[in-house]
Amino acid sequence: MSMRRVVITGIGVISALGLNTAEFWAALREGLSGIAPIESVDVSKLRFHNGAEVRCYDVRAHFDDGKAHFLDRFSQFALIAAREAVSDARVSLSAALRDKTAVVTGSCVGGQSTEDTGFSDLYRFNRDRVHPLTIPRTMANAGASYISMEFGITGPAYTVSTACSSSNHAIGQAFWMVRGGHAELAITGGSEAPFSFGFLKAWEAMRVVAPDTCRPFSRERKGMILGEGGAMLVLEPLEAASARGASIYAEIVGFGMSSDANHIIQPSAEGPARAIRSALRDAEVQADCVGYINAHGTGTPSNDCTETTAIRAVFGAHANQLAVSSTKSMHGHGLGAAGALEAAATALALRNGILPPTANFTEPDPECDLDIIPNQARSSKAEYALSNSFAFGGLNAVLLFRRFDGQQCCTKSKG
Amino acid sequence: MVRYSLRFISLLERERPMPDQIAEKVISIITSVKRIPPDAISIESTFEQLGIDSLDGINVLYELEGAFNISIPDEQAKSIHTVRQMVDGIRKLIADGLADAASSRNSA
Repeated sequence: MSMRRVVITGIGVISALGLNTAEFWAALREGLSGIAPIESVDVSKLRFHNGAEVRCYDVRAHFDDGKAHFLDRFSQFALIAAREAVSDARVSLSAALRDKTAVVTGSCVGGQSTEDTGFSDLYRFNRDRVHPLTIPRTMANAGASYISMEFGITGPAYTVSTACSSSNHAIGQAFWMVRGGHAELAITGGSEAPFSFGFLKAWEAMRVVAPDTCRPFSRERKGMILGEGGAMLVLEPLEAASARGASIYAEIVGFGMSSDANHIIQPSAEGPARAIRSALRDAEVQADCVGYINAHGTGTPSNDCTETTAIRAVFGAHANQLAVSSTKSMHGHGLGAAGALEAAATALALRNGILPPTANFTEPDPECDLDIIPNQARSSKAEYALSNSFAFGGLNAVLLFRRFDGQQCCTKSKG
Repeated sequence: MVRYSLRFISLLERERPMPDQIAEKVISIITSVKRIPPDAISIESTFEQLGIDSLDGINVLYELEGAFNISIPDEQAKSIHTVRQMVDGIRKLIADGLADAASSRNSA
């Protein structure tokens, strides 16, 4: 099967930065952070109080009463983002196309809020039963299933769960399926809704959540800030998109994966560096063609140093020419949705020629000596951009994007 | 503060753990988390010498919070790198907790 070029023709986003893609991009461009005091959970017994929640969200604006309760919040976000992405792509899903369309989503914990509520009622109130929708609401593939049902998609559909790399792994798989001819269209991304008391307590015990805000690469960074939301992309072969006159955001040109085989929570630099190299190799693109990296950039002391080391290991002197930012400073760490939110941010950055900043930046850390676009977006002619995701468990997934405006100039190493 | 007060009233009414008891308990928790013999640990041991990584660290902190009925703030935890620092830190948290409990009883 010949390799086809794969382009993004639709984007849908619901996040702490707004209820759609336009609001998401407007906030990223302005460097506005969606991090605020957590409202959906009583935080009086928590050591941290801030999060990046989806606000002003009215479930009834998106689902009728009969349907809403079938979906956990994470599935609602998946479906809302998919609806926007499909509508944005203006693609007509014929029966033949629906049979060859893939749905690949990422989620770290699925509907664990549903589980948290149902199980705590059992334990606390000595109830002897849980709601019959507990299983279908909780399963991590519920988002993919509801997307397939909504659009009548009968091709391959599945969910990848690799903690914070989930949706980069999902998008990478979907990209490869479309590139290799195993799917003619893909709806791919991820969603997460991690704000439940039990889960926040579990993060508190990890001691990686910041008491203030997320300041990736700043000297005084104190950790990550949890975020929620969903983002979906529509991927198509370039030929099909061009034939129907679709508007193209960007091209996906490479996907690389690796595992650290090292430690269940401590990151290594070698694994991420191998994933970045693998993405470049997959695209047959030279490292010095890359102009922007949407970093994993969690804001924990160890991630940001390690990621800097990985970037320097791959890019050498070119690391000084690279612009790197962590949009987690604005939309929070979406866990299984993180890669999807950041893929949307990266594609929008290439399309608009504007690189979103690292918000909340205060002062540089000598151990993170990269150009991290502090606080203010900047215009850029970057042609290639990477988006990094590095998960607990040492599972790394990196996507490589290319600007799509007919003015490509950076030479490929071969092919 | 209220959280400390309520917890430490009961502690006040029992007995205040002696400093050497604190050290003993800290060492016993580390030996159990790291599965190493107690004589491999001294009050002067550094976490690096004991091979305590980030995951071991949060496990030890979790066990200590339970054993002493205290809450160890993240910022304080980050600055602890030796057994002695840990023992001193816990002693201070217990003392602060007792002081809080006393002042809230006086003001009540």
